[in-house]
Amino acid sequence: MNPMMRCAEALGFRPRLRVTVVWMLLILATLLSWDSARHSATHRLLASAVLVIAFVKARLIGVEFMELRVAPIALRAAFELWAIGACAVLLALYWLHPAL
Amino acid sequence: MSGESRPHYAAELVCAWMGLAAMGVIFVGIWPLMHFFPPLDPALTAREVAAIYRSNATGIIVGGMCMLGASSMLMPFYCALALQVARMEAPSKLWTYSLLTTSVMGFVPLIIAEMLFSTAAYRPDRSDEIIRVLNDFGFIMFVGPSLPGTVQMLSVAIPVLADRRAQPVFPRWVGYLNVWTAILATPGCLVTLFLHGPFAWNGAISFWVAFIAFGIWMMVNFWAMRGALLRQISAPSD
Amino acid sequence: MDAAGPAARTRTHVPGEPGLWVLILGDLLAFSAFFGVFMYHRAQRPALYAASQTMLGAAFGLFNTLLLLTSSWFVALAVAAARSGTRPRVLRLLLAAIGCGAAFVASKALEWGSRIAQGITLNTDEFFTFYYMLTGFHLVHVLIGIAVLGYLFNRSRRPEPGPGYAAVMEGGAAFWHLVDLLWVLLFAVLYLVK
Repeated sequence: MNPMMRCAEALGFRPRLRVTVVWMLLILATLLSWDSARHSATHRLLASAVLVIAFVKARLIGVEFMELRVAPIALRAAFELWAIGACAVLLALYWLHPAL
Repeated sequence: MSGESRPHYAAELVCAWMGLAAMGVIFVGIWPLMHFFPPLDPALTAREVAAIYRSNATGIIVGGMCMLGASSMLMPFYCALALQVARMEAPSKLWTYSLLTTSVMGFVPLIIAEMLFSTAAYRPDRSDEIIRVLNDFGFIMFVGPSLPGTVQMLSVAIPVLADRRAQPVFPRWVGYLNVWTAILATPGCLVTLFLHGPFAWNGAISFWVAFIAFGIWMMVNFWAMRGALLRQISAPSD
Repeated sequence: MDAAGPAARTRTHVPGEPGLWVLILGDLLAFSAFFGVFMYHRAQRPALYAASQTMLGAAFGLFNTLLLLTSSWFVALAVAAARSGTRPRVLRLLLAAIGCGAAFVASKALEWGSRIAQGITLNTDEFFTFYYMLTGFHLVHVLIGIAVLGYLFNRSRRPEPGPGYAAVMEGGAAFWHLVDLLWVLLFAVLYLVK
């Protein structure tokens, strides 16, 4: 009778555990990036890694929190394509500039 | 019943098409005629600006006339759009009136911009500084007043999203698109803060993003209007 | 009446409603374009950008990121709670998320305030123009998001949430997650990437 219960079925069991694990991963990735960035003043590869990690976090938020995991393939694909494309373009633009 | 109501739907459809044609005329005015697409660089010196106005005086004036005429042709388009909004929110007329008033608000600066450009080109022997002031004023008018556009687009978005009938007048995603273009139209209001960069009147964000957003808005809303009107025309009863 | 069990697991479901994703994907595109413009200009004047970046309140940025990630967690938990029908939990979680949002706004005010006190304003240099514009644009999204969460809170308070409650909860939550996602990217591009 509850349309929300249908979604609960589709999402798999223990949704609360799942989102909590995702949250912990996001926090960890944030702290890791923060620490790397502090030591990456002149290391472009490290900065690139930080950017990629940011997009991995963004993708995680989209797929898990925004529940794109259970979305129709077209929507999911559009999001993933955006993530890959935007990350690639920003990385390319980052490497455009001469090393300091 | 439907035989009597059809002619006015046909008239609204014509106005919708006229809106597209008007945008085309404005574009012809701005680009090939005035050479103001993309807009002139705000950082140009008075001498450079005056030289541009003196060398292309006729183009600027005729282009300005295109802008002026076409802006007037656009008003029936907005009225046809407002009639669709009125259907969505009937019996209320709040967003209908909001759309109409912000449409007028949004296009008056365009008309003023045209007149300022034309005035700048009118007397070539005027001093460079005065020509540049008129140019500044014109472009600030042209790009700056973007917030009426934001409210205008929200005035379409809100009734579309509030429309709860089984066959909505406009598809729901058109409402969300109007919210998106409304957000993208906002940076234009910042042009007076910058003489260069992406937020200046010729900048990537204040001009180009807003221009593209408005183009998308126009095409999507025209398409939605056309669909709604065709359904109205072919419906057995109103 | 409603198919439950294994059949439901193979069905896909659009979170919120399809039209909302025009807005979400559109916003992602728009911000990506803004970031692209920023990175392009940064490549033209790397020394200036690097020097100005050191004057940012990086700790503020970290705090903001952890705050918004946690608020997204609360919102995701709230949606789960709404599905299992535990209304008090939904309300507590939404309130906590709104609190995080308010804390973000306060933190942003402090961050900007302390920059302005140091004499760093909108036109100080190109980097700071982008800084204020990008974080300001994002802040508008945060304010809209708080209003959306407030609406979800009010809707959840009703004894009978009414038809379409599921879609509204999911849709509103998706918008808040978008606000979080955009900040995660903003934090990396403005504060972290050197």
